[in-house]
Amino acid sequence: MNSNRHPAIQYGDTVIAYVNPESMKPVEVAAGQTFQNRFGTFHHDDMIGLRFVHLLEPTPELWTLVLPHRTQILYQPDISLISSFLELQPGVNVIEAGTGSGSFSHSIARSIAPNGKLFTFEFHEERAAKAKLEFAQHGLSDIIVSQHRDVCKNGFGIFNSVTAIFLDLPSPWEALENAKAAFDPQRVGRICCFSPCIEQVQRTCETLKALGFYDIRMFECLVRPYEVQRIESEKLPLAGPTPKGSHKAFKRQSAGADAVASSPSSVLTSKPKESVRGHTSFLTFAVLLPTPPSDGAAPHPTAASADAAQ
Amino acid sequence: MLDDTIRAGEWVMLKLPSGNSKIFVLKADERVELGKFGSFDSNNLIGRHQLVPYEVVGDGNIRPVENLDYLQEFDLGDTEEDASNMTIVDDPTSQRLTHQEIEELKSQSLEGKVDHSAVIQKIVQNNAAFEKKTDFAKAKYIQRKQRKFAKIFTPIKPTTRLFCDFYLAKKPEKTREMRIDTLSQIMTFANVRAGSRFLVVDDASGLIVGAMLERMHEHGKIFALHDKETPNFDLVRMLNFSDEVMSVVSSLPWFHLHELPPFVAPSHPDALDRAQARRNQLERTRDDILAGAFDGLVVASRFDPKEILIKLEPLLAPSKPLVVYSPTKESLLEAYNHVRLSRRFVNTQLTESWLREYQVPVFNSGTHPTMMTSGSGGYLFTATTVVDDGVRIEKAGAAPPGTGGQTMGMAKKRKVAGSGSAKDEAANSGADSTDAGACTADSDVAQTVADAANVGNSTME
Ligand SMILES: C[S@@+](CC[C@H](N)C(=O)[O-])C[C@H]1O[C@@H](n2cnc3c(N)ncnc32)[C@H](O)[C@@H]1O
Repeated sequence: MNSNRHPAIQYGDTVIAYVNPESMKPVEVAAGQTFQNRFGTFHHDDMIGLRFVHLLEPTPELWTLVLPHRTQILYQPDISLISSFLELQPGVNVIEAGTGSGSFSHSIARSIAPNGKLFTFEFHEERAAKAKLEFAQHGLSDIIVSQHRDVCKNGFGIFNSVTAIFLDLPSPWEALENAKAAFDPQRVGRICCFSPCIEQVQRTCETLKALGFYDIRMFECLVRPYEVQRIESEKLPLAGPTPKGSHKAFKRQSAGADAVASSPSSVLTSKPKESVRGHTSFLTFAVLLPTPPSDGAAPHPTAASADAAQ
Repeated sequence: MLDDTIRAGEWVMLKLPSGNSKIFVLKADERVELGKFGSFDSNNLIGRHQLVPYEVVGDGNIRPVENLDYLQEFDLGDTEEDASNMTIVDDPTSQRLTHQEIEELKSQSLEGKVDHSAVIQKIVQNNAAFEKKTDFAKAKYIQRKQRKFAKIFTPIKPTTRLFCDFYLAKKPEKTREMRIDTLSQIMTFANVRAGSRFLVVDDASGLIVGAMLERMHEHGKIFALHDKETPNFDLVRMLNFSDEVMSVVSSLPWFHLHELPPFVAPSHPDALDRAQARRNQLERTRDDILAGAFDGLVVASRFDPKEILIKLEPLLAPSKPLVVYSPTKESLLEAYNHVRLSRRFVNTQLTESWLREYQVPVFNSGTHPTMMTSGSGGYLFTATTVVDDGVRIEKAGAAPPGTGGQTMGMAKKRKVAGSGSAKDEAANSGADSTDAGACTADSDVAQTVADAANVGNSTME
């Protein structure tokens, strides 16, 4: 997921073995190994040097679909909106807690590379270790600093230095005071708390307000997937009663006899999928305004002098 | 980018409490007019932070607003349906100030003689019914007054997120009705990141190109195809990118993709140099585009997406994303079907974006979705390219041992799913968004499935 990867598959790479959107699996390519799916057994050695055939290059979005679930995870629609609100872009320094299964961490790392840093925290020891290992396997160790730590009890150990914080914790309000201290006071700080229940949102909003966060807004974000189907509409049977048997049998008979006259008109249709994700979490956003320069007077840099100062 | 300081010579948006806003290039030594909200000297804003609400004070001065509480946005709704409204009579006599006194206060405030919060306080104190209101009703009341009296503005450095909100409300056709959730999804689906090389068709005034630049900065390359001689990327201009970042974008008119006009050399030597340089640039851009191997293709165009895809899909590298946006679903269906049946793509999906904002519970105001919201965020279809190695596996019998039977089994199962109940479909692990096509495109599905096994085929003893 690191942008410097070789275009062809190498040992040590993670690839996504794709069958269809509901059936994908991550494979770490290693000498002498095999992996199986319903089509048979595949030798990793045979993948080396291949361009990505239906072994796909892992993007953070594909990884989200195949990663081993150790917790509830974030999905693409939420990830996208949060990334925009937190203004994730190259060079941004971000805090995330908890790391969970690392679904969002991969996406954050992609967005802030090559010069940003993600500090991600997880208090479950095994999860923290597994996530750290995955980040290394995916070539993200330069960007992601992962720590095993209880952020509600012990804070982040980071002060005055980030501009974006993401909290996916059962009680985000317990971490807000420490979060506030981690923001760079000369920049606009942006925070997102991700909670499935409205009661959590309420406590979060109250605490955010009490701590002086501003522009508190809350959203729910989903997508509605569609199925597309070409439907052939049959002609009205105005010509007389249908001969014995089903419509299908009739169609088959007549198709040979007079293909043109009976050719149905077809139309591309779409309908929402029957069973879809109906709720993930509520996204609460807020900003922390920078503290004005202490003398109160505004400096007047022109674009040029300010560039020089950077 | 990576900076919250307002600078001279840069585009800035000023948001007013009335909901109006103004976007312009802020120059030093200028008076900035806010209409009935007064005016201030630009030098007083230059060097300060964005997103902080400022209040105009005295003659052309500004200072950060101290109490931000009542600037918190919430749903004003149109009724005052709070619990204790039983005791509130909407009685003009509950206000002890006369109409004339209020008007006087108003004009004093606008002239900068008194502070807006002092005016509001006075009005509130003289409103007999105020104390009986709930916290939320009080907040609403104050916010309404503030919108009328406060000489407050918030300067914002433009971002594509700001443009999404702004144009969706004011002039949706400019950004092809793009909503922020959808734009954000385009960026993640397309895996936009530093170091990529993208092909883009952006008829949304540069919103897509701008959003890509926000996520790439000076790292990478963006090639944009457009219909006129020069692209309309109005919005990119307003994002204050450095020249270095801007040099990431190259653009080419569609009509030069296959044919360049004959080069007519101007007679004047200076003009010749310039014309030659332009010509070289044009040729280079075209050659770069036709060289293909792009990391992704993003389309938000007023032209037929299917025609665009047929032209551009060969230019994508394998295992790379395709993202097509449209505000209407129907305009995507033919292109979607084309891609779904193509052996060069897998993972085809069509989605509509859905977003709901809530009023948040600050001021004990209750938590509920906002009364008015945007009806649709538009549609995206996405897919991933794969290598079409030309290997065709025939149906029954011809497939290599160990794959053929299962492949066919799957195709049959799919057929059931395609014409059967939704339950069957869910139960069938092979079900995917391409299922629906199974009845008309059986053989394609079987091929795609067989393709998945190709990697192994060569190795199976
Ligand atoms: C829902 S998961 C996060 C999923 C993650 N956002 C993803 O996309 O994969 C929440 C995680 O927070 C961790 N956690 C809960 N309380 C914590 C605390 N006080 N400090 C650090 N981590 C905590 C849990 O162990 C759990 O792994």
